[in-house]
Amino acid sequence: MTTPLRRTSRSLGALLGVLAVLVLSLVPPVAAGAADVPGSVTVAAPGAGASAKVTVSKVSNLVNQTVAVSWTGFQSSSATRLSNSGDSYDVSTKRPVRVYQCRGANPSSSSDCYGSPGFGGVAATADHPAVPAVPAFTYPGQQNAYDANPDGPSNWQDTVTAPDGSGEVAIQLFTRRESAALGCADDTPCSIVVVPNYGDADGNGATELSLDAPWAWANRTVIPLSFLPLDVSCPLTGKSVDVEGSPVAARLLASWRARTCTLSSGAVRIDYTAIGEPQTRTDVAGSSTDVGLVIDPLNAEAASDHGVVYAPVAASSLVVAYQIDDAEGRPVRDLKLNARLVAKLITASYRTGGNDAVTGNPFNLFHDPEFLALNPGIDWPDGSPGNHPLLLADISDTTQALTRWIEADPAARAFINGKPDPWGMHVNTHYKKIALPFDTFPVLDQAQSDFFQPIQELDALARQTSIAQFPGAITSIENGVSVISKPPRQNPGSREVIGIIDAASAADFRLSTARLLNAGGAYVAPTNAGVLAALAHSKPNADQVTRTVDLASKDKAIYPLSLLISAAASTKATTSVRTSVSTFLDYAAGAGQVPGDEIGRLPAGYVPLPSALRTKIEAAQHALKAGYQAPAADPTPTTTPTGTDTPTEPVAAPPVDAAPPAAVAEPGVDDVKQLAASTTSLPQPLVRRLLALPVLVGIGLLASLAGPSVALLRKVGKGPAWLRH
Amino acid sequence: MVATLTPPPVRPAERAQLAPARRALPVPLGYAALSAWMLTTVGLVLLAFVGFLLLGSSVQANRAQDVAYSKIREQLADGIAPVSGVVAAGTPIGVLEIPALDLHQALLQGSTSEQTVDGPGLKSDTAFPGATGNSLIVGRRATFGAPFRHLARLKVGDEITVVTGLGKAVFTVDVVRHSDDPTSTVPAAASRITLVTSDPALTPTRQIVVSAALVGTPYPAATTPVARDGEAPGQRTWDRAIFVLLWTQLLLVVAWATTRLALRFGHRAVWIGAVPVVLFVLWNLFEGVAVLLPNTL
Repeated sequence: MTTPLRRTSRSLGALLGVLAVLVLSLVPPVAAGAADVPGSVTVAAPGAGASAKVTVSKVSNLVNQTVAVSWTGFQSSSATRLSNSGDSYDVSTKRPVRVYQCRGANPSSSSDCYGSPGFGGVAATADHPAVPAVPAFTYPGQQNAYDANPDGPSNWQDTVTAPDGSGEVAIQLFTRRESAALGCADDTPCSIVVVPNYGDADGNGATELSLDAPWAWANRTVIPLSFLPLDVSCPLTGKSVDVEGSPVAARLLASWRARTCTLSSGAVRIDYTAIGEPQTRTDVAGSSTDVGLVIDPLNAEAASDHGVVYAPVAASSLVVAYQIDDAEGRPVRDLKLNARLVAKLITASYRTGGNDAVTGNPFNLFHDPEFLALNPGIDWPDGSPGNHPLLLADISDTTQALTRWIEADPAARAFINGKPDPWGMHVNTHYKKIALPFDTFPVLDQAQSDFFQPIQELDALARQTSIAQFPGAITSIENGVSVISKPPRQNPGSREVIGIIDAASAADFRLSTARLLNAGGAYVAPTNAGVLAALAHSKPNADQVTRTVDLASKDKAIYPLSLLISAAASTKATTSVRTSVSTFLDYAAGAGQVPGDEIGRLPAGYVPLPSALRTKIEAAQHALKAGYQAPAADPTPTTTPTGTDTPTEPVAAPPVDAAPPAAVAEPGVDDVKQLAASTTSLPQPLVRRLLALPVLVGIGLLASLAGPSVALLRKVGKGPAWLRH
Repeated sequence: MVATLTPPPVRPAERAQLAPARRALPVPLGYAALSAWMLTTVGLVLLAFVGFLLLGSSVQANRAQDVAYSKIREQLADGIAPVSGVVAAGTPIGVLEIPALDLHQALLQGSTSEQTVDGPGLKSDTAFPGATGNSLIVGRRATFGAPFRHLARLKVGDEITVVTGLGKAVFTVDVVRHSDDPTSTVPAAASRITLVTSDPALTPTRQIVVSAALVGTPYPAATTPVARDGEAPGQRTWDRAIFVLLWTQLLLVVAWATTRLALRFGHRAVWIGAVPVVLFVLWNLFEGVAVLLPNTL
């Protein structure tokens, strides 16, 4: 017999059980095969296979970046690597897979996909009806129906499926900024479309040539994407601060500025322009910007003249990014380089053709015994002559940091001064004994100038590295006329690009980065640990805030190309400007240092500042609040500027040496944009007058008068005895 | 009887008496005569050098300009004028015209004194005229044609035209100053050309700087090579030092040979042959020494 208590507890237990089942059933089912990485999404791909799935590493909060697309359960291709090169297609491998970026969340045809070459159609035969042609990528304002790349090389990627049905590829996604024809932004949806080509009903046409055919499109898988807002919708009123500076900080500021103007307290609108550091320093000294983001500090005299204070804002690094596939087409994931190898790459020292300056040198990096000794165990590809590294053309503090590292390495420095390496390779004779460090890569070998061409603007350089396209141009003769075209991009399986870019771009484009040798003898990757170790061992410059990596330190954890980006602001600015700058620094010291993908956070590639450096931000804010304090003692009077005053230019201008900029705004000249004149220092001070000519004339006249007069005296018999004889 | 018209033959004894008079051994010169000769020679040589610098060098420079101008004209017409990459120093790259000064000069690559003896030169690490950036052109004020002798006459608003392989670029002068004037601000311009020469002309202590901003859109900048030693305005190079040394040695050898021959064979004949040789050697020596002087002289 059940007691009342037992009956109640039994029914209570049953009730609880029913409730539990109900609650559990309401919990949304975890997607089958849930992604390991947060942010990635996996969808079923019924068109490609019975249990096929496609995973994309990131589908929301996207900027111009690269995402990884992988799949399982597809039909395997007939080869393990596509033998396409440039713009030519592989006509024999069956069942390749193409990944497109298309406009619209559910594109109806491949003509909505960027760079889609289109399908020519198949004429009707006795057995089959005609297959209509599919036009190439169409977009508003199209002039030529066959022009599928209005905004530069395509981003679609073709690759194969491995025998186990899996495959993966990385695709760079364009926003409206990179491709107006696609127009992807937060208000215009776009998608990734994975198209396998299994051929028509008979299995024909299953190659790369027909990837836009209707039978391939029918098997597509569509994954919608959502992008971050491109243009920042900031209120027009309120505090604003003009920030200009280092392109290394571009991705950081793009993230911050979208957030700082919408803060509930401490809101400030950031107007950011990416400008090279030397020009930024000039502009800070000339007061044409509120804040300048620099890596190396201003000249001490200019800084004290304008009461410039510095505050560290972000730590990042310069990386040697690469996309290299080995001889079997598999991507290389680890690369070790030392300073001498990097010196060889940037001085065009590898042999190309019949170039006298590099005779006797290895064909390219992959044939260099030093490189092979450092990176054993990988079947390196043949590669292109000289490797064509992608370098920045602008005058930049990053190039200065790179060449400082090369100069600090004795082997690399000796190599540039002409000493051959232990395997007999010598530096390109045109680059022998060039002065180190320099701030812009010189192009000194005319025979290699076709491909050794640094690229202007850091984001263009990073994008070109991501698309895997060599720099320079190819000149070919067509119909007797020279045609100059850019090299075609390299396809997965046969890529071999190396580019020296910033860490944030490498992270966004998922580029592998090389491990570099530091003075302690260890090969360090540009991780947070490497950059923080470098900051811990860095030497402060005279201003005690900006820092340079101590390249002599034997610490094994240092990443030698770490960079500290500092904000430079003048305390002589008006109170409102100083307040805005201080508000900006508030954000930089606080919420801006939290790493993350969302807007307003610290993007990948940047390292949160250690607390010791964050206190410097406070010190700078105090100085800004106090305003300009004239120095107590009168320093030594400035010397008369000697030499030429040549005004410096904003865009990639090679200036004369950055010596004291002596420009001061003339009172009343408000509407004239200021350009600080910079003076050259001549090796010989011109203040000493060149008296050679008058002296020569004087001596000449004197002598030519004295001579005949002596002869005359002798003849006449007058004059002193010793002269008469 | 017809009188003999031929003069009586000189008997060998008399000939021996006559000959020594012409072949008299040199009398040891006294201090006076020696110093007179030396002073006169040295003085004349120095004056000749100054005369070369001021007058003779223009002859050379005019010829160099003719050659350069015809070459660049042909290349511009064919569209093969060098515009980027590594251009050999001394190659003509364009034509510089300043109507206000009636100046038409072929512009050369490189601005060491070796190049400015042939005409105004573009400093190698500055931008190509008309491309984005600053282009620095160094020219001479007093010697070798003195293309920039009237540079100080330029005023704000004057036009400078440069025709290169990139195209025609027209600049308007907006700054005329001396290099030791207090610095002033200039309006920003995407492309700028700066002309520099010495001031005062013969005994320079500073430079005249004329800067002009481009009218219109600039051509895209190419990466520029690194400057060579001696390209900054007012600098000199010692590249020709060996050249000068060798030609001085040759002059001494020629002088010695002339003197010996003159003493042996008679002054007049030898000097007729020696004068052109000596002048040739002197000209080359003077040119070498002139190139050792600053590139804006």
